[in-house]
Amino acid sequence: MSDKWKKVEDIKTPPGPVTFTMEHSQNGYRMNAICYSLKKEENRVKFREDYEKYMAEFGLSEFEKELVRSRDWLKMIHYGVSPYLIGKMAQCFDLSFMDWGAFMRGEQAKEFMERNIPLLKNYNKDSK
Amino acid sequence: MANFVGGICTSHNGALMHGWDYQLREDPIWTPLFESYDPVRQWIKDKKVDVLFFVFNDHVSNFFFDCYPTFAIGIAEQYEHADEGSGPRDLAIPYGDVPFSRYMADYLIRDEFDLAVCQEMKLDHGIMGPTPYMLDQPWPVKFVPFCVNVIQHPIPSVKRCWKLGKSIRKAIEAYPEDINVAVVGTGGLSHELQGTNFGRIELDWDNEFMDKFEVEPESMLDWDVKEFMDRGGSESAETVMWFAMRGAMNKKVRRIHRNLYRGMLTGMAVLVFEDAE
Repeated sequence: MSDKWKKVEDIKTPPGPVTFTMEHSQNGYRMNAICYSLKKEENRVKFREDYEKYMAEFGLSEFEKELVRSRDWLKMIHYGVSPYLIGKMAQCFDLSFMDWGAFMRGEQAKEFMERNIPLLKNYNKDSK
Repeated sequence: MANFVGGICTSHNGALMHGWDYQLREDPIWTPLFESYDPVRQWIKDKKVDVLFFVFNDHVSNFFFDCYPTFAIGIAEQYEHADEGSGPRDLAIPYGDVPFSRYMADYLIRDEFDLAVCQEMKLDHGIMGPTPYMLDQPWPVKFVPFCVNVIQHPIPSVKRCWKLGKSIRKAIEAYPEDINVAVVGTGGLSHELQGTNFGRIELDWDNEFMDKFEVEPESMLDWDVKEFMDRGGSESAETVMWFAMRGAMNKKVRRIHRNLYRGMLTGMAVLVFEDAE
């Protein structure tokens, strides 16, 4: 792991998009690996039961464990966790795609959806 | 000889999975989305399509970053459904056309596309998102999955995908069996899932893009992928896969169908082209 970050707080989250590069992929490799393991139902069950134990068994570093505990999905994205893998972990914390996505915007899923549903309805009634 | 019947481009996303798995066609929010695929379903029937050649991307459902192929083709007899978090989906088994798939791999590699060749591939919403909307089940066609890395940058350029489309077309037309093949490009259009602009959608750009894509696709061949990401959000990098479909078509096309639906997180588009006479 890069020693660019000593603590989770050191991960900067400037506004705007993140492009997932090889560097992200290498930084986030083990975090991505633990998320990838959750594509199996048996592992999701274990993670849900006791994620501390699951992380320990997986051999995550203390930094990586802190990152999971923080549930700071925006920091995870900047660190190098793939958006397609984050969801597998978020789901085991009973968070939907909208939940962790809206978190990155600094809002609740409910707010995000209530703002967007009228836009969606309005656009699609005229589409075709 | 095989017959190239035309091309389809479609978005793929989690919403398509959700809408199908919960059978939301009668929900007024979802009805226009379902209806936007009805003409595609009819076209596939009318053209008696035997094989759909999908240029799509995996979402770390099958491949992991230990070895993430830039281009990979499936040559399997059948494919499993990926578990994207809620178990494998309850959809019909996608069968491959093994001789055709092997032939395509062989042709494309000889034509300088250096592919990973896969005997197993779990298909995720990159293919199976839109598929139930445009095909009945059990599937009336065989599948050839051609996977493109669009998630770990650098990714193939617009021009590379365009050339891939040209090669796919040549290959199809040189195949000695009498089958009807359509090429499908999946992904896009505008969406951004990484960072503080989560949920960004650019419908004006999506429409402008589809205009250009139909009439003057060559004007975009030299664009860096970043140009698409700036205009349509970080995940619209997926749009490069549409150029494989467009590259397979003649310069002039006839539009059979086009629709843009505003999803919650994605400009969800579908279109069908045939070569113009």
